Amino acid sequence: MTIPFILNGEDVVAQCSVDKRLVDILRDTFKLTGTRADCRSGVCGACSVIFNGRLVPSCLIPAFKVKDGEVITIEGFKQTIEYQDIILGFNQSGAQPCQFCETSIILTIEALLSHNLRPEPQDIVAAFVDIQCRCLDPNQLLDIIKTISEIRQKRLYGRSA
Amino acid sequence: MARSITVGTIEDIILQGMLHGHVLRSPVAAGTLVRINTPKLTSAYTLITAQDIPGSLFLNNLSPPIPVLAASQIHYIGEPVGLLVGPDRNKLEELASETEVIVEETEAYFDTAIFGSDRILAKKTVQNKNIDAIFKKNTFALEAVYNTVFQEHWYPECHGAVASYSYDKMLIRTATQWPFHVRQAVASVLGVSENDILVETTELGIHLDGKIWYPSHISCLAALATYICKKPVKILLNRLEDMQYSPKRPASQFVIRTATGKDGELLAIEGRPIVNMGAFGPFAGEFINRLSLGMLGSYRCPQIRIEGYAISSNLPPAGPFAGFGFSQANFAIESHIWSITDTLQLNPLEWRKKNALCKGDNLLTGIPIRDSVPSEALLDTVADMSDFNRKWSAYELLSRYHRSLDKVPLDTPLRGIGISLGYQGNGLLFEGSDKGTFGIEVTLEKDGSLLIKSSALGSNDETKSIWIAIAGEILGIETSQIKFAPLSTDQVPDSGPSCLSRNITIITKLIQRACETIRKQRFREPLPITVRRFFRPTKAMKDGQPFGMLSWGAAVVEVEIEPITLTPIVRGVWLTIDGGKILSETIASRAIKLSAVHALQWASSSPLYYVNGKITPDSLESYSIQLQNNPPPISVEFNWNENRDPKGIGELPFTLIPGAFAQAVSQAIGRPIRSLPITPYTIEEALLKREKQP
Repeated sequence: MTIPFILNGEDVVAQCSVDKRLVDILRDTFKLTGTRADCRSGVCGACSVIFNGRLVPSCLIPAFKVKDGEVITIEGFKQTIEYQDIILGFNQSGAQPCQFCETSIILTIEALLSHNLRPEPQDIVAAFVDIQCRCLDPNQLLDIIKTISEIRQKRLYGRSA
Repeated sequence: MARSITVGTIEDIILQGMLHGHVLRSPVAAGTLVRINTPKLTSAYTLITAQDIPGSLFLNNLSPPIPVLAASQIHYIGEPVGLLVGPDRNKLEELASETEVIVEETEAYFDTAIFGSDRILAKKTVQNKNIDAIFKKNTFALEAVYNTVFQEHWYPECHGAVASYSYDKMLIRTATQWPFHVRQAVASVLGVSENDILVETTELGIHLDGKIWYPSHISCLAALATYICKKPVKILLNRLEDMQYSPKRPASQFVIRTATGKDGELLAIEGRPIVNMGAFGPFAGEFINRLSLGMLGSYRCPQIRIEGYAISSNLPPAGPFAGFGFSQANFAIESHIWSITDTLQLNPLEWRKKNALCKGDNLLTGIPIRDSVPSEALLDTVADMSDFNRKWSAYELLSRYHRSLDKVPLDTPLRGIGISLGYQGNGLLFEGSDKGTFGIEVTLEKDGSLLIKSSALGSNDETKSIWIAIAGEILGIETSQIKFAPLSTDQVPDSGPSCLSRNITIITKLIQRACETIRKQRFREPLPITVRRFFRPTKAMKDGQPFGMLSWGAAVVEVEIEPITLTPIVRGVWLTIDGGKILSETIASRAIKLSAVHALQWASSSPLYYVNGKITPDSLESYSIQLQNNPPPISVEFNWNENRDPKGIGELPFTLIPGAFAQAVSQAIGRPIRSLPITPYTIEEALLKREKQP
């Protein structure tokens, strides 16, 4: 099957079977290895991508669903100014996600802040409930996201909360 | 931030002409392997069995040795019996699903309720003839059984390895805490010299001491496939496979009987710890020693009798997990002490202050503790931080009132608070005592830069940052001038396993000593100056003193039971730690808080069960390593003193928090909690028991 879609802002076409998982298309066809294939059950969050504006586990998205859609992977997101906000927030907090959790944590933060720029702690906990990460203390994560939120508010509106 | 010295992740290693390996596993838990029926394999696909192994059939550097591929006898569901190797992973999965592993099944044993001497892997006995007389006297005796369940490490990357030829040597890339263990195992299985094997370490992530020996097993399989197929081979377990068959924290049971005096002081402890080590049970001796020692807690007791067993079963081999026996044991004894203080109506803080071990008191081996024990200071600080006395008195009054009623009123949240005291032994215990000649090498180069060579690898860059800071301070070198040699066995010396806080307690000291020697030689001898330092067990360790050193801690956990769902919600966690010289307060505090979250997760999340010898596939979805509620505030304070040695502290939360958490829930519901994890079902069960037996 020929599947045209937008990948990180570019029009691309993938030739694959209809049921091939999006994570495999990204890794095998486009060599975008920042999207990790781990549990292949939608449990761990390591394969998170932003698909049509929503954070999804790409291991659960079959190829035919991707047709004419828009996919942003961590590699594409790294080119954006929003990514710079997140990295600045991490640097200011003195913490870094590990190499394995980086994709899921950064894209989850982006998905959260793009819909809610001032998330409450319970919003953050709810957003991260599907991310299996051992490398960051949840309390620390709350502080990091608060810092990132302030950085972004300052960039967008010229002031923080 | 220190530069990465590993070779990325296993998943990202893709080599020219690389094949993949798929492990064929036993479908039954016990029996004799009859044959393996594969579908017709094309020339691109190969089946490897135990008959193809050129060297040793076992991982000889483990006790007892573990078969690389089962040749005849099957010990657990999922035991590797063969390896399918080929270029396409999907095709391999398809072939594996069509493959039949035929085993003549025999009776399997999964639990430790009844066991014969043939299943005893290790035993720890401390005899005491006087103890029966104490129990016969008119003292308050209490006997109870405590249980803990398995825990999954959930590694950031599943177990795996890539093997390939690099000129005339076999190159293994794997995420391991002990690359030289991998080298030794692979060399023995291939029947070649250790010098013919190179091991490079890939990114470990948070491993929680679960990658000590199992990576050696997977590496042997990958190396065997490369040896036979003459091509690079990658084996990377999938998440379900990793969860079902890789080693877990073992389940354990403690039967504890105590006799106490009129003031609640312990007169005698009789304990029977039993740990289910699964098949083979590597480190069984270390485990049972740790459980036996940990079961005595941090409290004085003149008469002790212990009969501990590490039992084999037809479950996958269990293995180390942060806390390594102490976490289970401390939960049991702290919960038991709750029952004593609750029955005798004593303040648990005062009881602990009165009965805590002191300098000069004996641990299990009879060798006295030589360093000062800051238990009173730790307990006072943690009590102040958490406002323990006020809260405990208020909740106790409420709890006593609830117990006077027929039924616990569940119209408002129930609250409780618990306290625990414990220690972390740094390094291996008793017979372990770091037998090898483990060391490091430091070189001051001609250009003034410093090169540190060690096979010890932290799960993150924080330990390396500490080493850089220490070396920079001693030698007055810019931190950017300090480098680490790549983690390859031909470039670094064997520094032993990176576990049980050895990196902080042993490697840090060796680096410090090497840098101090370089400082003395610096302007007297020409550059480069190379200094090697090796770890030797101290005299105290040789004399039988367990552990190189002890770090101490105290914790308070406050809990609220949600009245509708009966979910135990943690309102706060307070910890005080005596970790000797704290090299970086920020890093130490962060590490403690993260460990506290992991410990709480173990103590409160859904349990992981083997059903007929196997973890069911739906466990992948139901088991979570995340806290299911808002993270509780966690406060950490360090006990600053004159101690010049850094000590390992990362495992203390695993030792302290489950016990304090269980006590808090016990106080809230007015019934003792004697098993981990504590879930709404556990609480409901305890409340129902209370209604039946008021």
